[in-house]
Amino acid sequence: MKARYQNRIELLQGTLDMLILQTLQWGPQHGYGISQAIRTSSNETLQVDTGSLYPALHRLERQKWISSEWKVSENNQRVKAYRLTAAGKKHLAAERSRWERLTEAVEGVLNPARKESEA
Amino acid sequence: MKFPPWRRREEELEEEIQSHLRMAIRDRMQRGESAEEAESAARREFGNVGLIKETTRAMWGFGALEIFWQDLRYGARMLLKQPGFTLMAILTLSLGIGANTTIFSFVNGVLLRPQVVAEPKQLLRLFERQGNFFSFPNYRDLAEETQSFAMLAAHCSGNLNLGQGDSIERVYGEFVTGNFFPALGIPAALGRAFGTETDDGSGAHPVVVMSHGYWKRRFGADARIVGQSITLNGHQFTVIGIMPEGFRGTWPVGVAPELWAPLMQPQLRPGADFFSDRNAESVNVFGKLKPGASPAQAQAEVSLVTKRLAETYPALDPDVNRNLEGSRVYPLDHLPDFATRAIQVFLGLITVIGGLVLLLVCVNVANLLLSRAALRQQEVAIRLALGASRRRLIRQLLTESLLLALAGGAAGCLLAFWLTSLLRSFRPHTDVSIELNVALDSRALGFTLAVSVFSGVLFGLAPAWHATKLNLVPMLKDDRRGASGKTARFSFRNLLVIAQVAASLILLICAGLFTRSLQNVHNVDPGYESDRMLTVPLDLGAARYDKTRGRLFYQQLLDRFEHAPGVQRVSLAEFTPLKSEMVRASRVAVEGNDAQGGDYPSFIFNTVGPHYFETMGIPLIAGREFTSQDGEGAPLAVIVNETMARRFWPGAQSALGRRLRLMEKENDLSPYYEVVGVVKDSKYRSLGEETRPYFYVSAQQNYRRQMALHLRTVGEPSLLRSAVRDGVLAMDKSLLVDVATMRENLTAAFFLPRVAATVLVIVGLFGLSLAVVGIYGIVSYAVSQRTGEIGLRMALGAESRDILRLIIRQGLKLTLIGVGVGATLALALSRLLSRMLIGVSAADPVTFLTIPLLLTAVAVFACWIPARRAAKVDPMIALRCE
Repeated sequence: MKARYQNRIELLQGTLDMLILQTLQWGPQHGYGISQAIRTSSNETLQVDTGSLYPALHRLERQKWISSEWKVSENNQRVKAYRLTAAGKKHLAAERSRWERLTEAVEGVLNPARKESEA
Repeated sequence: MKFPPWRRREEELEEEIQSHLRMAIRDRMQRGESAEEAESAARREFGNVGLIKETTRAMWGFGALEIFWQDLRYGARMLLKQPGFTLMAILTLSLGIGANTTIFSFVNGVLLRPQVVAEPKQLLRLFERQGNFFSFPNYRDLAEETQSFAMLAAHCSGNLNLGQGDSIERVYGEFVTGNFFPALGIPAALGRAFGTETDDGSGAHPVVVMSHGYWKRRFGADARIVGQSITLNGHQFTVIGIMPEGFRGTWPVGVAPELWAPLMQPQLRPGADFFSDRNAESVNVFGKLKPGASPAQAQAEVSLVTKRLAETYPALDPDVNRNLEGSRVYPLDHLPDFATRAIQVFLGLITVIGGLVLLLVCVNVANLLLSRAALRQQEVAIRLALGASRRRLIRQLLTESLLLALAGGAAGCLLAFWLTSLLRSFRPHTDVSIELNVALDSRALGFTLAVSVFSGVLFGLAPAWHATKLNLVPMLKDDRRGASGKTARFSFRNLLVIAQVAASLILLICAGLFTRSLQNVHNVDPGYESDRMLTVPLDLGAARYDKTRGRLFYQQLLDRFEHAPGVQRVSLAEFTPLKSEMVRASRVAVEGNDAQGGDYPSFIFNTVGPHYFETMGIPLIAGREFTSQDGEGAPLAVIVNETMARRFWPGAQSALGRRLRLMEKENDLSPYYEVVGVVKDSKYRSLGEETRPYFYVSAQQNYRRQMALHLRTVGEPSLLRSAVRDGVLAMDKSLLVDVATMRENLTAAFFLPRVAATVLVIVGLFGLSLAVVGIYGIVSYAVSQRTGEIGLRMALGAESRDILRLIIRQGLKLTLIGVGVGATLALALSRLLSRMLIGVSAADPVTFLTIPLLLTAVAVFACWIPARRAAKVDPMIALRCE
């Protein structure tokens, strides 16, 4: 069982990290908020598994790309809010350009004809 | 801050997850779901909380530490569950670790203390060839003629008598030139040290500087002593300073002078020829290099100057000149080769013994763990079946053994604490003051920790490895026999037990031999009457008597006690038999066979006064003994013992009138001594010695600085003790007077054998108990493995007696092999001890029979406990277990 979860983290890791960092660009947010935000902004396509979300958050925090603090939410609840750090911003930019190169390349592989015709 | 540090994180994670769930439930309820629906849906969506926590925790990076903490707590619980086993293991370990910590702090205290000097790189020690000292005139010439040294200092050491009358005490002092302290560059901690003003030889500077240790010991660290006057050898000296702690002058190891006095002040001046005799190699020399001068330069210069000196004084003893020309410079902390070798051998020996003890201990605890692992096989199997990795389990078991080792280490520290304080209070009676700087400092404690961890891994690894190497399926079916595989892999264990039995047998046999020989001490005839006798060793050298004054003193001493009430006879001798540690030996050539350059046998001899043999009760066989006529100017006389007479001549009578020479130096032709008497053999160096050739020369013809007064009393000797003491002190109140009865001397002479025997007995019993525990472990392990087989045997008609025999036979086999090996080795080894044994043969049948029998009996008992358990096996239950 444990092994299955770990595999999933492995698969999602790079992308989920990027999505989390991207979400935090709009301001500090708690874990539940992050998962909801990703869900809504992907038009419910991406369901973030909590089993991957929390390990990812804690790992990102350890890598100093995000920081956390305890806050009181609008519902008067104590929540742990994560915030993007400067290093996180830099990392996000790097990840984004990597992601763009990757999707471009994948696109190129999937649609070779179009590329040829353009040339 | 909470402990452990991940505890706070744990709580935060819980809170984070709970808040997530609450928010999810609230959102769902806002969308119109009922409370129950919302809650169960949110939980379903969230997933396995425990698992998520687990994977999240893994991100913290505490993992290893946290697992260790878990293992530690689990291990502690397991150990507490079996208090008997745990206590046994900790006790065993504490002995091994405690012994090693003590040895380390000893080595640490003796070897690893740097010298307290200001510029060690600039300081050079000078030795003649083979570590010989310089004569004072040669030192003086060296100091004048060498240019590379800013200063060259000389020092020699000796005993001084401090105090007066009843409170006289022997101190170990150094006599140093005025540049000694300036060269070392260490100021006094209190007051000041003396300088070159004391080199004037005027006697106007009767000053001393005291060591920190002696100041604390004798004067209770009272600062008021500085400026006060003390009595040294009857002269008044002013204490002008206390040196800082750890200052030992130039000594690199162990030796710690108690005070320093000027060499050149006449009050303590050694013999008159000290400053002029080039043959007397008597001072240590060290120098401080001029800035810019190199040791190589200094060496070249020293070689040049010493060569010139040897050429200038060709009439010197050829040995002395050869030594002088071979002078070399060394770093200040250099020791002469013989000393280095002795220290290395000694430290090597105790380190090896310590290591062996630790190894035995580890082997034993490993054995205990192995037997216990047999009982825990099922637990291990279940954990393996539930998915624990083997690595994880080994880690768990290792943590447990580490815990044991640390507990053992802590207990060992307590033991070492006690042992080191014992060692510190032990001041051996040597002429040289030795400071045992044995303390449990941070370095020693660090060593203990390292040893504990090391031994924890050492004794834990093998059992953990074996315990987790299981064939799961039969194990879970509770078939112990199938799971453990072959028994062959425990042959190593068998070997270890055999070695343990053999080693402890050797130790016990040596201990037995010593004990037997100590019983014999009072039955052996030393060859003289040891009752009703007092001895008073006197050191006129320490009191700085010269030859003329000394002769006079000895004569007055004899006159004084000859007719004293209660004294039957009185005489003098340089050495008291069986007591003195030193000997004097000379090569002997008999007339007619004494050509120069011959190869002559060397014998030890004594220098004795008139009526010595009558006083001692040693029977005269032929001729006469020394009288007051055998003085200076009279023909030189010698008295030989029977064995020596037989060696050179047909018999005692024919020896009389024969002449012999003492070839003391390089076979030069020394004068003839005439044999005037032959006496019966007696014991000289030890009660265990073989009869040996021995001879006596007359004290009046051979002056000695140290002589012991020997008094034969009429009645109980100890009654005269204080009268004798007062009588000697009345003649010279600066002498150290230590009156002892001959019986006391004999007891003191057996102090070391007694200590050796005690230590051997203790180590031997320790080894024995380890071996017994080892045998017990193996046999009880075998019993637990063979339960099924035993059940089958009993079902087929074997009686419990047969089972008992079966099991005991296995342990007995190991024991007997060990005993055989041990006895053979002990037989070979004890031959080396034969010199120290009194009235006991090295192959003493009593010892060689009783001790192996005793050991075997104990071993059989160790087997009997598990064997009885085996014999009580109910065949029905045993077979059903299969």
